[in-house]
Amino acid sequence: MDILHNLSVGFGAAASLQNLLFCLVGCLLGTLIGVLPGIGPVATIAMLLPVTYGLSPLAALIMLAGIYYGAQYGGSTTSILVNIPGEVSSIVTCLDGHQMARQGRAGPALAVSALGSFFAGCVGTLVITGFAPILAAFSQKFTSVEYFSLMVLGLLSAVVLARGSLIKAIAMIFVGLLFGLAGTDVETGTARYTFGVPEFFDGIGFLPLVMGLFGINEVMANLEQPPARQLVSSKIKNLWLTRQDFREAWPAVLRGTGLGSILGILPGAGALLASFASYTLEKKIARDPSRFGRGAIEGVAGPESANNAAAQTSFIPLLTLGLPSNVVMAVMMGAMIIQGIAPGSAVIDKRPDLFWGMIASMWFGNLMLLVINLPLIGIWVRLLRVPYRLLFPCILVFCLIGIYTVNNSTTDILMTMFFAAFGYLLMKFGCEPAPLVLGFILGPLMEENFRRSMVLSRGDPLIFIFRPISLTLLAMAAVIVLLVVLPQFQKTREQAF
Amino acid sequence: MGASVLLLVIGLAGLWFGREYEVGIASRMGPGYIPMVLSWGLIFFGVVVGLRAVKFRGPAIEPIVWRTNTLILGAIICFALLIRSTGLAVTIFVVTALSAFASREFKWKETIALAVFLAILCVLVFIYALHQSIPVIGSS
Repeated sequence: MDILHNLSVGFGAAASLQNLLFCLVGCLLGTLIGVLPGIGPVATIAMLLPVTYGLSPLAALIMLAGIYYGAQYGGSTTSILVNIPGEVSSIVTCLDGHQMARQGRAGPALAVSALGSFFAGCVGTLVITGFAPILAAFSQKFTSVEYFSLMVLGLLSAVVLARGSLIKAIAMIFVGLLFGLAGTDVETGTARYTFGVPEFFDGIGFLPLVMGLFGINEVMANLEQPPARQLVSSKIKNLWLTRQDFREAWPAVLRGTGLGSILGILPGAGALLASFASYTLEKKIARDPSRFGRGAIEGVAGPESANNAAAQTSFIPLLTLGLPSNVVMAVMMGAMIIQGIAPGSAVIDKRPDLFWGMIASMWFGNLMLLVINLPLIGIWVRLLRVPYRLLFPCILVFCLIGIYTVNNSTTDILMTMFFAAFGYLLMKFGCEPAPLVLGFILGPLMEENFRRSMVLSRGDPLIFIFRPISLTLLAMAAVIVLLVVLPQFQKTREQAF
Repeated sequence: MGASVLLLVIGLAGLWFGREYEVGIASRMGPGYIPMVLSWGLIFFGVVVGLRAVKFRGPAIEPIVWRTNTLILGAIICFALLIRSTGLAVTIFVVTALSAFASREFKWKETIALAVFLAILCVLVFIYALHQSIPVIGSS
């Protein structure tokens, strides 16, 4: 009953003309950048942050969320037609999706990925509806001790999924935490690492950091190693699935949705892991695994459902615990803070219209995406023919104007350049920037909660072990790290990336 | 190996620039406490990564392509230098042209056309539609 009431509040808030419009804009943009390889949701959401200053908080969040899950729809189109992933989370879709396209079955491949995504998106939204309030209520018991342990868990599980060396990934978290502390210390007012520059008193800007490390760095990486494109040129006709396609695909969609919904909730997981896990599962339980890699429809249906379900449910940790589980969520958290909303369990109680409105908008968004992606597929295919040499100057220019207009500050532009250069070094040295960004956004929060815990315990670090919830969280973190070190898992991890 | 040096540099810089911040004790932490812990952590990771790099020879670092990265980073500096003095249109034109040069498939005519198009588009979107206070041409 409660949920029904809440949902009706949400639908009421989301169905206003303005919010529907921004939902559509978000979904369109998401599909666009999903289709275009070389620009991801992180850079896009960061680029649009300045535009959202003028919007109401709900409209801003609806639009930004639309970009993220819209990108999951669009990414599959490029994977299927061009055999390069439009987004990282649709890497596995290339395997069977592109094979289907080569066999002249691009239509069914696109249809099954869009329909699977739609189904998964709806279920994912339902999971948020049911699960988020419970988790939020639970987290109300949390004190600074539990919050600190929770953040440790979140950061460590994010590391497990980073590509490359585990030590480097943990080191990147530390770099991020340290960068996050720059600026005026909240408790004592001491200026830290500001070098006397007034612009640094508020800390390192979030936008320059994310844009430098992701947006501009992606451009530099793509210019060095241009991805080879092999567009299937034949016209896409017949988007309909045959009866047999349908029979083969729907169990995979169900399994992918279930797997994705669960993996999305876990801190650090998200769409990428979900799609890999689903593909592995489908291959393992298939009667004839040799069909995979040669155009098996389950190999498209499963992962595409999984990544979309995970994209939806990865909002749960952010909305209920204030904990971003991946970089996109870290940028969303930045957007919420800019709008004056502290992410966390208080959002449901204090701003139910915002919380439920955003969830309701995801229903509308998924429906819009179905229309955007199936009947209008031809438009997106044509966009794929735009060469990258024309695309990247546009990305660069929009990034720079976006950053500049926030504060009209050239210092921010120079900071962006610094982080772009820094990110370039990280890329060359095999370090992933994602853990750095998570550490950066959690740095000040972790310091604050750690200090408070220490005051509470009079300087005894054992307090983190004596509290049962905190102990459980830390134990989970320890198990995750142990799993990674074990050789069995190491092998799977190498295969996955 | 490169990663190790980078981590050591950041860790040492963290300690050096943070040397005057009051550290305090665990139950009453000063502003310097956590930065110090993190800096030492980075130095530790730097040493471990370095030792592992010596023990297991990993793949060599990919060669740095100077043409692309200097042009892209240079274009960003141009933006910072020009935006206040020449206005949006000129800045966008220069940044686009300079960055387009970073691509191996660079073509003169196409680039000029793109630069003009982007300059006009940005002026329309950011100045006329979003009312940003940047001059179209000339200094602010």
